[in-house]
Amino acid sequence: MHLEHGFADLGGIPGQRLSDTAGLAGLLLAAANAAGLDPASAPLVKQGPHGVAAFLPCHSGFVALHAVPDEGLCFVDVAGLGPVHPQRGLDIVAKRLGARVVRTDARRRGAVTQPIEPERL
Amino acid sequence: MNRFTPYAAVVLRLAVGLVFLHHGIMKLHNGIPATAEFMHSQGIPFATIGATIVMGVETIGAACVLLGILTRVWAAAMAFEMAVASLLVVLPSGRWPELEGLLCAGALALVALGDGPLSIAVGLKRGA
Repeated sequence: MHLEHGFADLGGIPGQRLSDTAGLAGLLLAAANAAGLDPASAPLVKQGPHGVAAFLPCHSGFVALHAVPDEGLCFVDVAGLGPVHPQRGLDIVAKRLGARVVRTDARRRGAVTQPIEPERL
Repeated sequence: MNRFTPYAAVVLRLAVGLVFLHHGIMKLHNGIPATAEFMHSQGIPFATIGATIVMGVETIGAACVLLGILTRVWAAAMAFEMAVASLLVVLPSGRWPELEGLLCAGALALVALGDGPLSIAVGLKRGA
């Protein structure tokens, strides 16, 4: 069992776009659909003093982002179990936000085979 | 055909209507702007109008199908919506439109069957 987890750091985005909470909610739905995830509820979007946090729980994963409109930055996570395509979800977010700078990464997460003893940390 | 055959429409109305209503309520929670943004990102033109129509079909239309009011009209709209969703949203994302195909088939069956028994429309006709 693996969790395919994709990350993206997006920059150069118009602040207005990142402050649009309804737009970000729709974007989460679009990212989930592109990644092959099935939304489990409506997106949750909260605006605070340090930016906008948005989360969409899905039946086999999640889509999350944190946007900092003042800096034009957006940090996106798309993760899911099974045959999902997080990169497709990240691509659609980057495209729709009009990000000028895009840095993506991916990790396949799974069962811990070599646990680290907490006292050694 | 037996005496239960006409009730197939009732069972189908309940199944199709409830599934559409569930999705319609979810879209209401999302709001029109979020649904429109989602549709726009899928390349669907006139997304705000489309989102409003889809939400109307999935809430008002679903309620009408459940109650048996203009079932054929709403079911045709639902079948069209599912065909569009399958072609423009689900298939391009690499998934097989299982639920959408089933709902489209169910809605088309309702177009053929009509209101059926235990519906408001039939009740009104009998009362008139």
